[in-house]
Amino acid sequence: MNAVNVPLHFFVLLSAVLLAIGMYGLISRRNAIAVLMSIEIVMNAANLNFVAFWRYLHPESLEGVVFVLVTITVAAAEVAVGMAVVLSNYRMLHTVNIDEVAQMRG
Amino acid sequence: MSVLELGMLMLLTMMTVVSALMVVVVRNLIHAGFWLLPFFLGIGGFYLILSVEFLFALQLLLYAGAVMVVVLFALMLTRDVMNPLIRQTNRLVVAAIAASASMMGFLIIVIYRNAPTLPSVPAPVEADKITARLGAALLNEYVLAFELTSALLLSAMLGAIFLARNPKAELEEPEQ
Repeated sequence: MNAVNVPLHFFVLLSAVLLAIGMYGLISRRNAIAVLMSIEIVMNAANLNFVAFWRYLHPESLEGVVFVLVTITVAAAEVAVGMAVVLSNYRMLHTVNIDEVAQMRG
Repeated sequence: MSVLELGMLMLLTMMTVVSALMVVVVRNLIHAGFWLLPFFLGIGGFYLILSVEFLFALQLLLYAGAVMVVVLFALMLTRDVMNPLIRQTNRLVVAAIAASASMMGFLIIVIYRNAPTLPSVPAPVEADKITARLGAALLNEYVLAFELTSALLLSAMLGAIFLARNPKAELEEPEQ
């Protein structure tokens, strides 16, 4: 697969677009699960950036790929804990909309 | 780059961007959850283009497999996600559009200004040895990160079980 000669800034631009899309969802969504899905988009954009910079600049060391491995694992852990928080919140307050969870508002 | 390759690349990019957009704008959250699947597959395709097949496999297993299932389960366990009458956006929609559009514009300007300094061709590497090198590196140089990750996974699993269990149901059990 060495034949594909895409310039590096294509990947950087793509992850900038994905980051903006994820950020829009992160701010505008009400449902906590949808917010977590937007965080997944942002994390995937960051991962793509890591791999692209690693592949184009320093493929002799493996930092980029190892970083992405750790990020994917952390994202999986984050989703598991996040969903557990959402479900226990739903059981107690009967809502998953984050603007209705305002018990700590002063 | 041949026309076929360019077409495939454009197709993959369109798939990724459009499905990411659908995830954040679609009203029905079950549909939004399913739109995550082509998004994760598209990112995996870019990993293939960057010749890291191992990350492609990991992306399929962890994101398109595990994360998708957890998200869809959580959506189905909570009420009213498919009700079209329920508003899915908060008051900040205009602010969100403005913030993300201005950030995207800023980033695109910065990237275009610096595009000539970025390499246009990937650095030469033995593409079929990357996975073998990664396996060796994970158990030599990066063994601390590897072990810390497994400790994190274990604690996240225990924490998720603790948070998701129903304390009331547990109290009621002895009476049955």
